[in-house]
Amino acid sequence: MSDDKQVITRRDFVRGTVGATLGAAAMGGTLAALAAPVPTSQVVLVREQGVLDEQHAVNPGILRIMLRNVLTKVTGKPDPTSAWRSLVKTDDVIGLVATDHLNRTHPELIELVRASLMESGVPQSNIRDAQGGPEKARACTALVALPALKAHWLTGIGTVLKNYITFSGNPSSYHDANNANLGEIWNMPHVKGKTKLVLVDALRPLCDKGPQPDPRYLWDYKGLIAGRDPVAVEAVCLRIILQKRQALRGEPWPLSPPPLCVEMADKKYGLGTSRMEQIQLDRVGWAADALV
Amino acid sequence: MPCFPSMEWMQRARLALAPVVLGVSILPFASCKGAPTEGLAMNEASFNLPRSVGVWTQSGGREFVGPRDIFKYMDGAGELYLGYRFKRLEVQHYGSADQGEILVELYWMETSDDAYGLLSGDWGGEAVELHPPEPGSSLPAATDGPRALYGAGLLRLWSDNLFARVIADQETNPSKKAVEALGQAIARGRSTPPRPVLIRSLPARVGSRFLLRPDRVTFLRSHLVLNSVYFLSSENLLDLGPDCEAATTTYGQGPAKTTGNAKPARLLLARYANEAAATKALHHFRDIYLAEKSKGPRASLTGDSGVVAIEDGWMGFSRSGRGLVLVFESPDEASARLLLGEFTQILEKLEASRE
Repeated sequence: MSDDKQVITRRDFVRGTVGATLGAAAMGGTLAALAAPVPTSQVVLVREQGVLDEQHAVNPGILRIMLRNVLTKVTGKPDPTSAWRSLVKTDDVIGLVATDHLNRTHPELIELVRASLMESGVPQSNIRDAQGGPEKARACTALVALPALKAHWLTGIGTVLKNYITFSGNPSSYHDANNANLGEIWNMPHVKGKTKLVLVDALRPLCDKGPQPDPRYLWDYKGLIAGRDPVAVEAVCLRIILQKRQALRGEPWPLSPPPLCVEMADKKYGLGTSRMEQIQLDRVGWAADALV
Repeated sequence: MPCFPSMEWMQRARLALAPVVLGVSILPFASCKGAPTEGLAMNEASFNLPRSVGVWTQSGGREFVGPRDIFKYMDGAGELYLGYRFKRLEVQHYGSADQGEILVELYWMETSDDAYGLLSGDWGGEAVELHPPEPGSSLPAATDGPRALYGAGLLRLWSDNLFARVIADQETNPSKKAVEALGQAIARGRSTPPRPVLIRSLPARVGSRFLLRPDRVTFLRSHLVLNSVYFLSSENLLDLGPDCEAATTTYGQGPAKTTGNAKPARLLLARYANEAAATKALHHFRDIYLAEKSKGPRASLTGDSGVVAIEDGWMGFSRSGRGLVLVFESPDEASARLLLGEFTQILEKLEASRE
């Protein structure tokens, strides 16, 4: 940091004062040279080529199979019902926290998750849309994060950690380099410990900023990315976004501002691991152009 | 040597686009030449858009969004437009029976420079000629770069103090033609001021090694926009704001994408309201970004200019009058001094000519 006010500068990244684990990638380098500790978190990547058609419309039947694969892989249970029951209680008030702007979570995925929970014994009345202010999180005993994979012009990446920004009650205070503090929202009393599953809609991600989506930067990745460690899931998402950007331009195309939130969620807020070497990535399905 | 990337851009432009390619209903369309927003009520349209284009017809009335409401419209991301002195937004939807919707957004900005700045955030896409030649005339004259860019259903255009986005939710050949026709209708009759003076002053080449990357040129006033292009700091170290004008770009060593591992140098030019503001900004920057070299008994960088090796290459700064030049990631000291000298002279000439 540059002074007492904790001003973060570009030089801090280059020095490794901040962003040591992902700074190189965020500023245009690679992650390959980092050390390789033992994996501590699991992330599941499920992809199916047929889940979107040429007009990007969702095939609900294939998406249902993908969701089943996600749930069974994440929990190690044989079916969705036992998987959900290992994650939530049937009397939990469960908040589904989807992305509602820029690159919205596909409604088909939200409805499949809702239906799958109901099939597992959770009453419909106990399942609610929890995206919004802090009172939405406060009213729930369990949360399922359902963000869509996207870059963001004020926070670098705007997927998992940013998905709870409205729970803070003061979203704009986490923009620009203040995105480093996004992890603290997950530790607020009305949020902490409630997230049972992070399930990222990576069917058609957005790899460049905004504030409005530019369709040139949307692509059919046809994936779901899930886990119980939000930082690990975000780290995998970040890797995919960076790889896609480099592929598009044929040269390093760093995210700017750098997504400080990912490493800070690990090191400062203790929410999980941001180091790819500590992440066990389990893959199911279509492998081409996985970017990770 | 001044920068004229125009021919390259024009070669990319879709010159075959004709204004009558679609059945554009212009009956209710009034020329929007000089379309003022001054004095308009908030719910008063600045000019008429075509009632229909191809199979798309206006659906619903015009929506209006002011600076206070921009965050509602963009759900927390209006800083981009406010950073370019946004005045108002007008939104018009077009519907069709079975070919999806087209959305038109008209962003009225304070000046042409502001609208240009919004376009300059991303030079990707296919250049579109907004003022196609009259039938029988020769090709249009070369311009100073694209004023409209199309990609994947989205047209972005700069037309005087107007920045517009026209987007089809289903990209097809007919929707592309409709989007481009709407873009032409928006620009028709409007003046075409030149690019911001700082941008026009960027030379295509510096010395024998450094070539401008026209597709990396951005005009800005806000540190949030700067950080979205080139992250400098979590704090507004350069005191950027609505009263400033700034340009940033890269100068590569050789043609784009043939430079191997040679890292491009990053340039930032800024002009402030007055000399005092520029001096204050330089001190702010120097005291934080180069803290170890500008403060304390061993300080070596305390004047209005300096060149120093830091972690990612040679960095230089120079203030002259109300202008400030910063060079980052220069490969060596001589290059940093070359770039710094070149751009300091350019700013001084601009001041002398009162541009």
